[in-house]
Amino acid sequence: MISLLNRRSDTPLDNTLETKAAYWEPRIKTYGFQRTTGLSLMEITVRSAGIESLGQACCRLGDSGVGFHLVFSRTSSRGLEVSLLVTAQWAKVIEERMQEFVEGTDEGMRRTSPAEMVFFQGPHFGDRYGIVDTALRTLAAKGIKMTATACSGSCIYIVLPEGKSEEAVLALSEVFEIPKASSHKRSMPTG
Amino acid sequence: MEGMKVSGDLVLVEGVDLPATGERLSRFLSGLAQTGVNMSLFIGGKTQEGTQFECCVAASDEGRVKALMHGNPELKTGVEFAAPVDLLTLFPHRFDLKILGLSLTALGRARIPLHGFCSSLSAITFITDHTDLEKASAALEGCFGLGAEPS
Repeated sequence: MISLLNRRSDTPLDNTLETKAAYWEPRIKTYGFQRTTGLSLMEITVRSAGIESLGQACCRLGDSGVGFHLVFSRTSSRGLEVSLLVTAQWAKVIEERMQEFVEGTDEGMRRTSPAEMVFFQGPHFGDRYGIVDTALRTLAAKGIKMTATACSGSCIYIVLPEGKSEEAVLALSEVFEIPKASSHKRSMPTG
Repeated sequence: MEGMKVSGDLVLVEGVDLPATGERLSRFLSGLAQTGVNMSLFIGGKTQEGTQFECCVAASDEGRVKALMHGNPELKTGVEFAAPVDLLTLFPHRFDLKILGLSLTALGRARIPLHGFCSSLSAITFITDHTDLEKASAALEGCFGLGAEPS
């Protein structure tokens, strides 16, 4: 369903009415939920001057065949907070291979293990408002606390403590519409 | 690496929530939804200081977001606008840390300040200051031998 939203322009001297089309549906459609268990969340804080060295450390990990499920980063007063969500079996390898780099940081590397992840997509997710809000409100209403959330493009990723991804999928399935053929898929840990 | 997309005319909003409440983030997200503001990117996570989050919204929505913040006591403090930013999206990443590593190396070497990055199913998106767009694009293009596709 396409809804039209009318609102006044933000420009004080411009009193025109802006009309914006938005895709809307009473129950938000998804392509299904996928959850992954057996993960580790590796976190490190890097100052601006350390970004090149972090890049080189990531290249060495990549050369060793270490992959990721999700990477995200945001700024804080301490620097760039970098998070890597990886299959748990890689956690020790990452700690070992990044030891030299980590020794040059203020706080070292933090590991949350085990961790789990739920991710999902849906029609026009990248261009619509309110999807993350609905997802996080749904989890909060059930008392499910997320560890992290990251969204870019049309994907929504929710990182959760051990044992919470199934509960999260059940809660989200009550609010979001899922394809009838499969309620959700489970991804097993992969290399 | 097959390509790079540039998304411009965005502003970065950063926020920190108090530990154990989640109230500020919840009000912020609900406010955006009620005013019809889409986020191009959102990253949030728990830290010792509470839940920290950042998002990118269209520059044309800045007035609406500011009005939301000023009209809500919870959001008057703890949520701030940063400088105008652009998103540089590289695809596909193939879940390979070397792609991330090469990108960070190139951006770090070019002394481009990063506000964050985030992967999706096939792409990695970097948040850079709008003033650094040309330098950042050149660094990534040079690294992967790409031409940028303006969106």
